[in-house]
Amino acid sequence: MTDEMTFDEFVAAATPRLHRALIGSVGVDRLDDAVAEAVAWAFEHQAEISAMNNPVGYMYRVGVSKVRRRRRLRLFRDVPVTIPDVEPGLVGAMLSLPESQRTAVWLAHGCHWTHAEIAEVMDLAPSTVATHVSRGMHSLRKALGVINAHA
Amino acid sequence: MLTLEEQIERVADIATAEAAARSRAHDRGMRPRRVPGAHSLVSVAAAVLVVGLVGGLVWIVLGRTEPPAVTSPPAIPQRQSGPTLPLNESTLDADPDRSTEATMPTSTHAEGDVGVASAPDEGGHSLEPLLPYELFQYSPEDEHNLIKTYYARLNRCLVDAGDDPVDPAIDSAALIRSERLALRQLQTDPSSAVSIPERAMLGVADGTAEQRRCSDAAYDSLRTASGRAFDEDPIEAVEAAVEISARVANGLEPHQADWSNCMRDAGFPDARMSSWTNAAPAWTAADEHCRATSGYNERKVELLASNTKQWAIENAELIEVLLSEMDLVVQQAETLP
Repeated sequence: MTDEMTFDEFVAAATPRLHRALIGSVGVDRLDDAVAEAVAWAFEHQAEISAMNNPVGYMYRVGVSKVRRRRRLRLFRDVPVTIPDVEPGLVGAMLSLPESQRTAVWLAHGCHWTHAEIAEVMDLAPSTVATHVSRGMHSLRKALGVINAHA
Repeated sequence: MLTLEEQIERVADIATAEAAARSRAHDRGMRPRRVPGAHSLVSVAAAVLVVGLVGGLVWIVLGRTEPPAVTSPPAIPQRQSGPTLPLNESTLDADPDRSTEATMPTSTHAEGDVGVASAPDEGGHSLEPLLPYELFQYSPEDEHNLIKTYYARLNRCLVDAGDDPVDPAIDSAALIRSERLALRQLQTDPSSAVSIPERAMLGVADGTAEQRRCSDAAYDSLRTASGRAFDEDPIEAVEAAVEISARVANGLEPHQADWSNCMRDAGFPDARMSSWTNAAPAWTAADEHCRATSGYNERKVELLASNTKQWAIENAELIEVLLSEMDLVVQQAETLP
Protein backbone atom coordinates (compact mmCIF):
# COMPACT_ATOMS: atom_id res chain seq x y z
CA MET A 1 0.00 0.00 0.00
CA THR A 2 1.44 3.38 -0.96
CA ASP A 3 0.61 6.84 0.29
CA GLU A 4 -1.39 7.45 -2.87
CA MET A 5 -3.42 4.27 -2.55
CA THR A 6 -6.54 4.12 -0.40
CA PHE A 7 -7.16 1.18 1.84
CA ASP A 8 -9.99 -0.01 -0.37
CA GLU A 9 -7.72 0.09 -3.39
CA PHE A 10 -5.08 -1.80 -1.48
CA VAL A 11 -7.58 -4.48 -0.47
CA ALA A 12 -8.84 -4.77 -4.02
CA ALA A 13 -5.32 -5.28 -5.26
CA ALA A 14 -4.14 -7.58 -2.49
CA THR A 15 -7.15 -9.81 -1.94
CA PRO A 16 -6.90 -11.99 -5.03
CA ARG A 17 -3.31 -12.91 -4.20
CA LEU A 18 -4.24 -13.44 -0.57
CA HIS A 19 -7.25 -15.59 -1.50
CA ARG A 20 -5.17 -17.79 -3.74
CA ALA A 21 -2.42 -18.29 -1.18
CA LEU A 22 -4.77 -19.02 1.71
CA ILE A 23 -6.78 -21.70 -0.08
CA GLY A 24 -3.78 -24.00 -0.03
CA SER A 25 -3.25 -23.52 3.70
CA VAL A 26 -6.68 -23.19 5.30
CA GLY A 27 -8.88 -24.75 2.63
CA VAL A 28 -12.03 -23.44 1.07
CA ASP A 29 -14.11 -23.97 4.22
CA ARG A 30 -12.14 -21.47 6.26
CA LEU A 31 -11.07 -19.21 3.43
CA ASP A 32 -13.58 -16.43 3.99
CA ASP A 33 -12.87 -16.31 7.72
CA ALA A 34 -9.13 -16.19 7.11
CA VAL A 35 -9.41 -13.42 4.53
CA ALA A 36 -11.76 -11.46 6.78
CA GLU A 37 -9.39 -11.73 9.72
CA ALA A 38 -6.44 -10.68 7.59
CA VAL A 39 -8.26 -7.71 6.09
CA ALA A 40 -9.54 -6.64 9.49
CA TRP A 41 -6.01 -6.79 10.86
CA ALA A 42 -4.74 -4.78 7.91
CA PHE A 43 -7.49 -2.19 8.42
CA GLU A 44 -6.35 -1.67 11.99
CA HIS A 45 -2.68 -1.58 11.03
CA GLN A 46 -2.72 0.52 7.89
CA ALA A 47 0.38 2.49 8.82
CA GLU A 48 2.39 -0.67 9.39
CA ILE A 49 1.02 -2.32 6.27
CA SER A 50 2.05 0.64 4.16
CA ALA A 51 5.63 0.22 5.37
CA MET A 52 5.88 -3.47 4.56
CA ASN A 53 7.63 -4.89 1.55
CA ASN A 54 5.32 -7.86 1.44
CA PRO A 55 2.03 -6.90 3.09
CA VAL A 56 0.19 -9.82 1.52
CA GLY A 57 2.68 -12.17 3.09
CA TYR A 58 2.00 -10.77 6.50
CA MET A 59 -1.75 -10.80 5.94
CA TYR A 60 -1.39 -14.43 4.92
CA ARG A 61 0.26 -15.18 8.25
CA VAL A 62 -2.48 -13.39 10.12
CA GLY A 63 -5.17 -15.25 8.19
CA VAL A 64 -3.58 -18.62 8.79
CA SER A 65 -3.07 -17.94 12.48
CA LYS A 66 -6.58 -16.70 13.15
CA VAL A 67 -8.66 -19.53 11.82
CA ARG A 68 -8.90 -23.06 13.06
CA ARG A 69 -8.17 -25.38 10.20
CA ARG A 70 -9.95 -28.65 9.79
CA ARG A 71 -8.22 -31.96 9.82
CA ARG A 72 -9.61 -32.65 6.37
CA LEU A 73 -8.68 -29.69 4.26
CA ARG A 74 -10.64 -29.12 1.06
CA LEU A 75 -9.57 -27.10 -1.93
CA PHE A 76 -13.02 -27.25 -3.54
CA ARG A 77 -16.57 -27.24 -2.25
CA ASP A 78 -17.77 -28.84 -5.46
CA VAL A 79 -14.93 -31.05 -6.52
CA PRO A 80 -14.64 -31.01 -10.30
CA VAL A 81 -14.97 -34.49 -11.77
CA THR A 82 -12.01 -33.75 -13.94
CA ILE A 83 -9.81 -30.76 -14.48
CA PRO A 84 -8.59 -30.58 -18.06
CA ASP A 85 -4.94 -31.54 -18.47
CA VAL A 86 -4.57 -32.28 -14.77
CA GLU A 87 -3.80 -35.74 -13.36
CA PRO A 88 -6.96 -37.02 -11.63
CA GLY A 89 -5.06 -37.88 -8.46
CA LEU A 90 -3.19 -34.59 -8.13
CA VAL A 91 -5.58 -32.83 -5.75
CA GLY A 92 -5.71 -35.82 -3.42
CA ALA A 93 -1.96 -36.23 -3.54
CA MET A 94 -1.43 -32.59 -2.70
CA LEU A 95 -3.77 -32.81 0.27
CA SER A 96 -1.90 -35.83 1.58
CA LEU A 97 1.43 -34.02 1.67
CA PRO A 98 2.79 -32.93 5.04
CA GLU A 99 1.63 -29.45 5.95
CA SER A 100 4.97 -27.75 5.38
CA GLN A 101 5.51 -29.38 1.99
CA ARG A 102 1.97 -28.69 0.82
CA THR A 103 2.18 -25.05 1.82
CA ALA A 104 5.57 -24.60 0.17
CA VAL A 105 4.51 -26.35 -3.05
CA TRP A 106 1.22 -24.46 -3.21
CA LEU A 107 2.79 -21.05 -2.69
CA ALA A 108 5.71 -21.78 -5.03
CA HIS A 109 3.92 -23.38 -7.96
CA GLY A 110 0.28 -22.52 -7.38
CA CYS A 111 0.90 -18.89 -6.47
CA HIS A 112 4.36 -18.20 -7.93
CA TRP A 113 5.74 -16.80 -4.71
CA THR A 114 9.52 -16.66 -4.47
CA HIS A 115 11.32 -18.86 -1.99
CA ALA A 116 12.27 -15.73 -0.05
CA GLU A 117 8.61 -14.73 0.21
CA ILE A 118 7.59 -18.23 1.30
CA ALA A 119 10.44 -18.34 3.80
CA GLU A 120 9.20 -15.11 5.33
CA VAL A 121 5.66 -16.35 5.93
CA MET A 122 6.72 -19.82 7.04
CA ASP A 123 9.51 -18.59 9.31
CA LEU A 124 12.03 -20.76 7.54
CA ALA A 125 15.29 -20.26 5.74
CA PRO A 126 14.89 -20.02 1.94
CA SER A 127 17.05 -23.12 1.59
CA THR A 128 14.63 -25.04 3.78
CA VAL A 129 11.74 -23.85 1.64
CA ALA A 130 13.57 -25.14 -1.41
CA THR A 131 13.92 -28.49 0.29
CA HIS A 132 10.23 -28.60 1.19
CA VAL A 133 9.26 -27.76 -2.38
CA SER A 134 11.63 -30.32 -3.82
CA ARG A 135 10.48 -33.05 -1.46
CA GLY A 136 6.85 -32.18 -2.02
CA MET A 137 7.23 -32.35 -5.78
CA HIS A 138 9.11 -35.61 -5.48
CA SER A 139 6.30 -37.07 -3.35
CA LEU A 140 3.68 -35.87 -5.82
CA ARG A 141 5.50 -37.45 -8.73
CA LYS A 142 5.81 -40.66 -6.77
CA ALA A 143 2.13 -40.63 -5.81
CA LEU A 144 1.07 -39.98 -9.39
CA GLY A 145 3.27 -42.74 -10.72
CA VAL A 146 5.38 -40.36 -12.77
CA ILE A 147 8.43 -41.97 -11.18
CA ASN A 148 8.79 -45.21 -9.32
CA ALA A 149 9.12 -45.33 -5.57
CA HIS A 150 12.91 -45.43 -5.64
CA ALA A 151 13.52 -42.90 -8.36
CA MET B 1 0.58 -32.27 -21.65
CA LEU B 2 1.10 -29.86 -18.79
CA THR B 3 4.08 -30.20 -16.49
CA LEU B 4 3.36 -31.00 -12.86
CA GLU B 5 4.12 -27.41 -11.94
CA GLU B 6 1.63 -26.17 -14.54
CA GLN B 7 -0.97 -28.64 -13.29
CA ILE B 8 -0.61 -27.27 -9.75
CA GLU B 9 -1.05 -23.79 -11.13
CA ARG B 10 -4.19 -24.95 -12.94
CA VAL B 11 -5.59 -26.45 -9.74
CA ALA B 12 -4.89 -23.16 -7.95
CA ASP B 13 -6.59 -21.23 -10.77
CA ILE B 14 -9.75 -23.28 -10.53
CA ALA B 15 -9.87 -23.47 -6.73
CA THR B 16 -9.44 -19.70 -6.53
CA ALA B 17 -12.09 -19.12 -9.15
CA GLU B 18 -14.53 -21.43 -7.41
CA ALA B 19 -13.97 -19.74 -4.06
CA ALA B 20 -14.32 -16.27 -5.54
CA ALA B 21 -17.50 -17.21 -7.37
CA ARG B 22 -18.92 -18.67 -4.20
CA SER B 23 -18.13 -15.47 -2.32
CA ARG B 24 -19.85 -13.39 -4.99
CA ALA B 25 -22.86 -15.70 -4.99
CA HIS B 26 -23.02 -15.61 -1.22
CA ASP B 27 -23.00 -11.80 -1.33
CA ARG B 28 -25.98 -11.92 -3.69
CA GLY B 29 -27.74 -14.62 -1.70
CA MET B 30 -27.45 -17.01 -4.59
CA ARG B 31 -26.41 -20.61 -4.85
CA PRO B 32 -23.01 -20.79 -6.51
CA ARG B 33 -22.68 -22.22 -9.95
CA ARG B 34 -19.84 -24.26 -11.32
CA VAL B 35 -17.32 -21.81 -12.70
CA PRO B 36 -14.94 -21.98 -15.60
CA GLY B 37 -11.25 -22.26 -14.88
CA ALA B 38 -10.53 -18.58 -15.03
CA HIS B 39 -8.95 -16.35 -12.40
CA SER B 40 -11.45 -14.05 -10.65
CA LEU B 41 -11.15 -11.04 -8.37
CA VAL B 42 -13.02 -10.39 -5.17
CA SER B 43 -14.82 -7.12 -5.45
CA VAL B 44 -13.93 -4.01 -3.50
CA ALA B 45 -17.46 -3.93 -2.14
CA ALA B 46 -17.14 -7.41 -0.69
CA ALA B 47 -13.84 -6.56 0.93
CA VAL B 48 -15.23 -3.39 2.48
CA LEU B 49 -18.22 -5.35 3.76
CA VAL B 50 -15.88 -7.90 5.28
CA VAL B 51 -13.96 -5.12 7.03
CA GLY B 52 -17.17 -3.79 8.52
CA LEU B 53 -18.38 -7.16 9.69
CA VAL B 54 -15.22 -8.20 11.42
CA GLY B 55 -13.96 -4.83 12.56
CA GLY B 56 -15.33 -5.47 16.02
CA LEU B 57 -13.33 -8.65 16.23
CA VAL B 58 -10.17 -6.59 16.19
CA TRP B 59 -10.85 -5.48 19.73
CA ILE B 60 -11.09 -9.10 20.74
CA VAL B 61 -7.91 -9.97 18.89
CA LEU B 62 -6.05 -7.01 20.29
CA GLY B 63 -7.39 -7.80 23.70
CA ARG B 64 -5.50 -11.07 23.57
CA THR B 65 -2.22 -9.55 22.50
CA GLU B 66 -1.11 -8.70 26.00
CA PRO B 67 -0.41 -11.90 27.87
CA PRO B 68 -1.76 -12.14 31.38
CA ALA B 69 0.72 -11.77 34.18
CA VAL B 70 2.26 -14.99 35.40
CA THR B 71 1.93 -15.06 39.15
CA SER B 72 2.92 -18.65 39.79
CA PRO B 73 5.54 -21.00 38.37
CA PRO B 74 4.43 -22.12 34.91
CA ALA B 75 3.21 -25.68 34.59
CA ILE B 76 5.51 -26.56 31.73
CA PRO B 77 6.45 -30.21 31.39
CA GLN B 78 10.16 -30.87 31.67
CA ARG B 79 12.33 -33.41 29.94
CA GLN B 80 13.67 -36.01 32.27
CA SER B 81 17.03 -36.46 30.62
CA GLY B 82 19.30 -35.19 27.92
CA PRO B 83 22.01 -32.58 27.84
CA THR B 84 21.16 -28.93 27.83
CA LEU B 85 23.87 -26.55 26.82
CA PRO B 86 23.80 -22.85 27.57
CA LEU B 87 23.16 -20.68 24.57
CA ASN B 88 23.99 -17.07 25.00
CA GLU B 89 24.15 -13.97 22.94
CA SER B 90 27.69 -14.64 21.84
CA THR B 91 26.41 -17.54 19.80
CA LEU B 92 23.78 -15.36 18.18
CA ASP B 93 25.42 -12.10 17.33
CA ALA B 94 27.87 -13.04 14.64
CA ASP B 95 26.67 -12.15 11.18
CA PRO B 96 26.01 -15.48 9.47
CA ASP B 97 26.67 -13.98 6.08
CA ARG B 98 30.17 -13.05 7.13
CA SER B 99 30.85 -16.00 9.38
CA THR B 100 32.69 -19.06 8.16
CA GLU B 101 32.78 -20.88 11.45
CA ALA B 102 29.82 -22.41 13.18
CA THR B 103 29.54 -22.22 16.95
CA MET B 104 27.57 -25.35 17.68
CA PRO B 105 29.24 -27.72 20.08
CA THR B 106 30.52 -31.04 18.82
CA SER B 107 29.20 -34.18 20.42
CA THR B 108 30.44 -37.66 21.08
CA HIS B 109 27.02 -39.24 21.29
CA ALA B 110 25.97 -39.68 17.71
CA GLU B 111 27.48 -41.35 14.73
CA GLY B 112 30.12 -39.79 12.58
CA ASP B 113 31.78 -36.44 12.85
CA VAL B 114 30.55 -33.64 10.71
CA GLY B 115 33.55 -31.51 11.51
CA VAL B 116 31.68 -28.52 12.85
CA ALA B 117 33.97 -26.38 14.95
CA SER B 118 33.00 -25.14 18.36
CA ALA B 119 33.69 -21.65 19.59
CA PRO B 120 34.53 -20.48 23.08
CA ASP B 121 31.82 -19.03 25.22
CA GLU B 122 32.46 -15.33 25.32
CA GLY B 123 29.78 -14.54 27.85
CA GLY B 124 27.37 -11.66 27.43
CA HIS B 125 23.75 -11.08 28.15
CA SER B 126 22.00 -14.42 28.37
CA LEU B 127 18.93 -15.09 26.30
CA GLU B 128 18.34 -18.49 27.83
CA PRO B 129 14.93 -17.72 29.33
CA LEU B 130 13.76 -16.66 25.91
CA LEU B 131 14.84 -19.55 23.82
CA PRO B 132 12.79 -22.63 23.13
CA TYR B 133 15.96 -24.62 23.60
CA GLU B 134 15.84 -23.70 27.25
CA LEU B 135 12.11 -23.69 27.59
CA PHE B 136 11.80 -27.23 26.27
CA GLN B 137 14.98 -28.54 27.84
CA TYR B 138 16.20 -29.29 24.36
CA SER B 139 19.77 -28.45 23.57
CA PRO B 140 21.71 -27.50 20.48
CA GLU B 141 23.65 -30.69 21.12
CA ASP B 142 20.45 -32.70 20.73
CA GLU B 143 19.91 -31.11 17.39
CA HIS B 144 23.50 -31.56 16.39
CA ASN B 145 23.34 -35.26 17.29
CA LEU B 146 20.29 -35.71 15.15
CA ILE B 147 21.90 -33.99 12.21
CA LYS B 148 24.96 -36.19 12.53
CA THR B 149 22.81 -39.27 12.81
CA TYR B 150 20.90 -38.20 9.73
CA TYR B 151 24.13 -37.91 7.76
CA ALA B 152 25.52 -41.14 9.13
CA ARG B 153 22.44 -43.00 7.93
CA LEU B 154 22.37 -41.15 4.66
CA ASN B 155 25.99 -41.93 3.89
CA ARG B 156 25.70 -45.55 4.99
CA CYS B 157 22.83 -45.92 2.55
CA LEU B 158 24.78 -44.22 -0.22
CA VAL B 159 27.88 -46.34 0.31
CA ASP B 160 25.79 -49.52 0.41
CA ALA B 161 24.32 -48.47 -2.92
CA GLY B 162 27.76 -47.93 -4.38
CA ASP B 163 27.44 -44.16 -4.40
CA ASP B 164 29.79 -41.57 -2.95
CA PRO B 165 28.95 -40.18 0.49
CA VAL B 166 27.96 -36.54 0.73
CA ASP B 167 29.97 -34.05 2.72
CA PRO B 168 28.02 -33.38 5.88
CA ALA B 169 30.20 -30.52 7.10
CA ILE B 170 29.00 -28.17 4.39
CA ASP B 171 25.33 -28.81 4.91
CA SER B 172 25.49 -28.82 8.69
CA ALA B 173 27.27 -25.50 8.68
CA ALA B 174 24.66 -24.09 6.34
CA LEU B 175 21.88 -25.23 8.61
CA ILE B 176 23.55 -23.83 11.66
CA ARG B 177 24.18 -20.53 9.91
CA SER B 178 20.51 -20.32 9.01
CA GLU B 179 19.57 -21.20 12.56
CA ARG B 180 21.87 -18.52 13.87
CA LEU B 181 20.42 -16.05 11.43
CA ALA B 182 16.97 -16.86 12.70
CA LEU B 183 18.12 -16.53 16.27
CA ARG B 184 19.96 -13.31 15.55
CA GLN B 185 16.74 -11.94 14.14
CA LEU B 186 15.05 -13.41 17.21
CA GLN B 187 12.66 -15.34 15.06
CA THR B 188 12.52 -18.23 17.43
CA ASP B 189 9.59 -20.51 17.24
CA PRO B 190 8.41 -22.93 19.91
CA SER B 191 6.92 -25.37 17.46
CA SER B 192 10.15 -25.71 15.52
CA ALA B 193 11.99 -26.40 18.73
CA VAL B 194 10.06 -29.59 19.20
CA SER B 195 10.21 -30.77 15.60
CA ILE B 196 13.84 -31.78 15.52
CA PRO B 197 13.95 -33.95 12.42
CA GLU B 198 12.16 -31.29 10.42
CA ARG B 199 15.07 -28.99 11.19
CA ALA B 200 17.53 -31.69 10.25
CA MET B 201 15.99 -32.17 6.84
CA LEU B 202 18.90 -31.02 4.83
CA GLY B 203 20.53 -30.57 1.64
CA VAL B 204 20.32 -33.25 -0.99
CA ALA B 205 17.09 -32.12 -2.58
CA ASP B 206 18.89 -31.34 -5.81
CA GLY B 207 21.06 -34.43 -5.66
CA THR B 208 20.95 -37.68 -7.56
CA ALA B 209 17.99 -40.03 -7.37
CA GLU B 210 20.02 -42.30 -5.10
CA GLN B 211 20.87 -39.41 -2.81
CA ARG B 212 17.22 -38.41 -2.57
CA ARG B 213 16.14 -41.97 -1.85
CA CYS B 214 18.74 -42.37 0.87
CA SER B 215 17.92 -38.95 2.27
CA ASP B 216 14.25 -39.87 2.45
CA ALA B 217 15.09 -43.09 4.24
CA ALA B 218 17.42 -41.41 6.73
CA TYR B 219 15.00 -38.58 7.32
CA ASP B 220 12.00 -40.84 7.71
CA SER B 221 13.78 -43.07 10.20
CA LEU B 222 14.38 -40.08 12.43
CA ARG B 223 11.07 -38.44 11.81
CA THR B 224 8.93 -41.43 12.68
CA ALA B 225 8.67 -40.88 16.40
CA SER B 226 8.19 -37.16 16.68
CA GLY B 227 6.28 -37.04 13.44
CA ARG B 228 3.49 -39.00 15.03
CA ALA B 229 2.65 -36.20 17.39
CA PHE B 230 2.45 -33.68 14.58
CA ASP B 231 0.62 -36.03 12.28
CA GLU B 232 -2.03 -36.47 14.96
CA ASP B 233 -2.75 -32.79 15.14
CA PRO B 234 -0.15 -30.42 13.79
CA ILE B 235 -2.35 -27.39 13.99
CA GLU B 236 -1.65 -26.20 17.52
CA ALA B 237 2.10 -26.38 17.13
CA VAL B 238 2.10 -24.64 13.78
CA GLU B 239 -0.33 -21.99 14.86
CA ALA B 240 1.62 -21.27 18.00
CA ALA B 241 4.52 -19.79 16.12
CA VAL B 242 2.34 -17.57 14.00
CA GLU B 243 0.22 -16.53 16.96
CA ILE B 244 3.28 -15.59 18.98
CA SER B 245 4.75 -13.74 16.02
CA ALA B 246 1.56 -11.75 15.61
CA ARG B 247 1.43 -10.87 19.30
CA VAL B 248 5.06 -9.83 19.27
CA ALA B 249 4.62 -7.79 16.09
CA ASN B 250 1.82 -5.81 17.70
CA GLY B 251 3.99 -4.98 20.67
CA LEU B 252 6.91 -3.93 18.50
CA GLU B 253 5.12 -1.41 16.36
CA PRO B 254 6.30 1.66 18.32
CA HIS B 255 9.92 0.55 18.09
CA GLN B 256 9.72 0.00 14.35
CA ALA B 257 9.26 3.75 13.87
CA ASP B 258 12.41 4.41 15.90
CA TRP B 259 14.22 1.79 13.87
CA SER B 260 13.10 3.46 10.62
CA ASN B 261 14.38 6.82 11.82
CA CYS B 262 17.71 5.28 12.77
CA MET B 263 18.02 3.60 9.39
CA ARG B 264 17.20 6.85 7.64
CA ASP B 265 19.98 8.57 9.57
CA ALA B 266 22.30 5.74 8.52
CA GLY B 267 21.58 6.42 4.88
CA PHE B 268 18.73 4.00 4.22
CA PRO B 269 15.65 6.22 4.07
CA ASP B 270 13.30 3.58 2.66
CA ALA B 271 14.51 0.64 4.74
CA ARG B 272 12.04 -2.00 5.78
CA MET B 273 12.74 -4.71 8.27
CA SER B 274 11.69 -7.45 5.91
CA SER B 275 14.52 -6.47 3.57
CA TRP B 276 17.06 -8.36 5.63
CA THR B 277 16.71 -11.50 3.54
CA ASN B 278 18.40 -9.85 0.56
CA ALA B 279 20.37 -7.17 2.30
CA ALA B 280 23.89 -6.00 1.53
CA PRO B 281 26.51 -6.06 4.35
CA ALA B 282 26.25 -2.28 4.91
CA TRP B 283 22.48 -2.54 5.30
CA THR B 284 22.87 -5.49 7.66
CA ALA B 285 25.35 -3.59 9.83
CA ALA B 286 23.04 -0.58 10.04
CA ASP B 287 20.13 -2.89 10.77
CA GLU B 288 21.96 -4.51 13.66
CA HIS B 289 22.96 -1.14 15.08
CA CYS B 290 19.45 0.30 14.77
CA ARG B 291 17.73 -2.76 16.23
CA ALA B 292 19.95 -2.46 19.27
CA THR B 293 19.85 1.32 19.77
CA SER B 294 16.13 1.73 19.13
CA GLY B 295 15.22 -0.67 21.91
CA TYR B 296 13.70 -3.00 19.34
CA ASN B 297 15.78 -6.03 20.32
CA GLU B 298 15.27 -5.54 24.02
CA ARG B 299 11.51 -5.24 23.63
CA LYS B 300 11.39 -8.22 21.29
CA VAL B 301 13.22 -10.36 23.81
CA GLU B 302 10.72 -9.36 26.46
CA LEU B 303 7.74 -10.04 24.21
CA LEU B 304 9.05 -13.35 22.90
CA ALA B 305 9.85 -14.55 26.38
CA SER B 306 6.49 -13.62 27.84
CA ASN B 307 4.45 -14.84 24.87
CA THR B 308 6.38 -18.06 24.46
CA LYS B 309 6.03 -18.84 28.13
CA GLN B 310 2.35 -18.01 27.98
CA TRP B 311 1.91 -20.29 24.96
CA ALA B 312 3.69 -23.06 26.83
CA ILE B 313 1.40 -22.65 29.81
CA GLU B 314 -1.67 -22.72 27.61
CA ASN B 315 -0.44 -25.79 25.76
CA ALA B 316 1.08 -27.86 28.55
CA GLU B 317 -0.62 -31.06 27.47
CA LEU B 318 0.53 -30.71 23.89
CA ILE B 319 4.08 -30.05 25.03
CA GLU B 320 4.04 -33.12 27.21
CA VAL B 321 3.11 -35.27 24.23
CA LEU B 322 5.71 -33.66 22.03
CA LEU B 323 8.45 -33.97 24.62
CA SER B 324 7.84 -37.65 25.09
CA GLU B 325 8.02 -38.17 21.34
CA MET B 326 11.10 -36.00 21.13
CA ASP B 327 12.83 -38.02 23.79
CA LEU B 328 12.29 -41.12 21.72
CA VAL B 329 13.94 -39.49 18.74
CA VAL B 330 16.91 -38.24 20.72
CA GLN B 331 17.29 -41.59 22.41
CA GLN B 332 17.18 -43.29 19.04
CA ALA B 333 19.92 -40.99 17.76
CA GLU B 334 22.15 -41.34 20.80
CA THR B 335 22.04 -45.11 21.06
CA LEU B 336 23.07 -45.93 17.53
CA PRO B 337 26.02 -48.33 17.34
